[in-house]
Amino acid sequence: MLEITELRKEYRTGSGVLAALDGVSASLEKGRTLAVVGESGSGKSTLGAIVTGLETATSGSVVIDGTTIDRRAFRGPLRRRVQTVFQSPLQSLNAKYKVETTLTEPLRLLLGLSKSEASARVDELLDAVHLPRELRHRRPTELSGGQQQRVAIARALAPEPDLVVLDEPTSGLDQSIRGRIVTLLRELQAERDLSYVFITHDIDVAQAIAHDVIVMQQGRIVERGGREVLRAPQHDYTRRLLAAVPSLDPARRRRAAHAISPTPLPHDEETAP
Amino acid sequence: MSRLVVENLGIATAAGTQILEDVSFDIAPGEIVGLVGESGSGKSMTSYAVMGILPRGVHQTSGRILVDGEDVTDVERRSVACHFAMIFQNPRDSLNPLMRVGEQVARMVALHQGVSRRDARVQAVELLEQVRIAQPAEAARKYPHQLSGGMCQRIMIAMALACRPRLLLADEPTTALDVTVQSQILDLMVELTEQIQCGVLLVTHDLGVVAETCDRVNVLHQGNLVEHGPAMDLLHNPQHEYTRYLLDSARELEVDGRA
Repeated sequence: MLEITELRKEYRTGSGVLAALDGVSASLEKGRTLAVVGESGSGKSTLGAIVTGLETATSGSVVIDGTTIDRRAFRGPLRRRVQTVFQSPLQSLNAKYKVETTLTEPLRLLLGLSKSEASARVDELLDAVHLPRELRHRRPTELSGGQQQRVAIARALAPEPDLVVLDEPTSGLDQSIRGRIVTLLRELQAERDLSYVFITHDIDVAQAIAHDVIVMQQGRIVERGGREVLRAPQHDYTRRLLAAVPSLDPARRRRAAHAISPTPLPHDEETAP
Repeated sequence: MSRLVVENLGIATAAGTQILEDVSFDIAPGEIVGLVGESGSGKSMTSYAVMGILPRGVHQTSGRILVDGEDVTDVERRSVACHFAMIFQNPRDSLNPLMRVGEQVARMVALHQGVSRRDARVQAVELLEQVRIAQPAEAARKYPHQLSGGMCQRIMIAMALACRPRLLLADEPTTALDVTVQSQILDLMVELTEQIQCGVLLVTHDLGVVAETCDRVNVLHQGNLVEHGPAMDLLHNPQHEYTRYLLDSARELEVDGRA
């Protein structure tokens, strides 16, 4: 379904060239979830942006069901078949649009439905993401964070995509809401045979949703495998990530931290790109 | 004596909506007390009320606030001399983007300690060292956009330390940070709290963060304090239904084999 080969993305900075992605290869089969795990600056969001056509790669290729992604690819059917959900629904939803406008627009533009057909489909979409139908008349600011993210998911589902790239979809949400969004995404995947690229720094969430995992650090993949990678990591960086997650049982985290070699983490002392 | 006592605090909007009702808690010197709840539970408003920075249109309707036994309920009395400091979720948004970070810390030092600008600059660099910034003199010359999120939060903590705080209010201080940076910042907070014996009110929605850092914890639900107690007791033996719900949500995703 998705084949990423030797992807490289360079940005020119004041002090030279920064490789946000440095030879990244990965693949994803239909109906499965690839979790891309890493910290700020690891290149995970750049990867998502290239897969959705928001950025172009410096070299390497992304192939979705036989179509190689380039500048023109998203003028064709891929524009419908690949959808995105971002971290902050309040920023990604149009503040002036009522929920029904947000949902009918992709139906009309990408599926070519008439106004009345699209409007009829809105209830189905709201049902699918477990939102009450009467919310169709609300604007984003009149919804809670969890409801906004459900609307953003419904919007992504509207044009009946095959691949959804989710970039930190649970990050701005309460812990209590996070689990419910993950449950919803798993349910939608099973119903619609969706493929997900799930970008996150939240290891608990990645573990809960992934079939396959890649762990990224400074533009490179340092570890890959099935979701068990997050239970029994081999690479020091992955171990470090896991050991840093606050646990309800702090003693367990301390034990995990002891298993790591004592080289310091450079991350925090670096300046932002 | 308690560092901070909050008694029967009530907050409402001008339109009459009650945001917080009858909330009481206290913090001892050197103690980190958690305030947890979901979005809209009133936890941030509680910290704003204590700091005396309630947004326009929101006011205190009842209760007293005491610092080291002194009644500072009147916002006018919560002046510089009170030694309150606050750090927020997005450190980069809290810093002045147009001023070098060392200068921002130095201004706090000058304001609170009345020293010369030259001495304030020297002290600012020492504070950066105290919050474990490598090459503090060099970092002091940078602007916020040149620093990572974790570094910016360290700068905010340095600014907080500049006022020799008796009370530090931390509103989701690590929510926007990467996990490895989060654990470094939390370790730093625990260490400094112990060192300078300030009281800390840690506002968070993350019960893992509470388990790692807090001595005691208060659970807020829709403006009411539903449960409070020592952090480990409360997390392992929650009495209130809402606390159990929060814990179940947190456990739902926690990786079993993390250790």
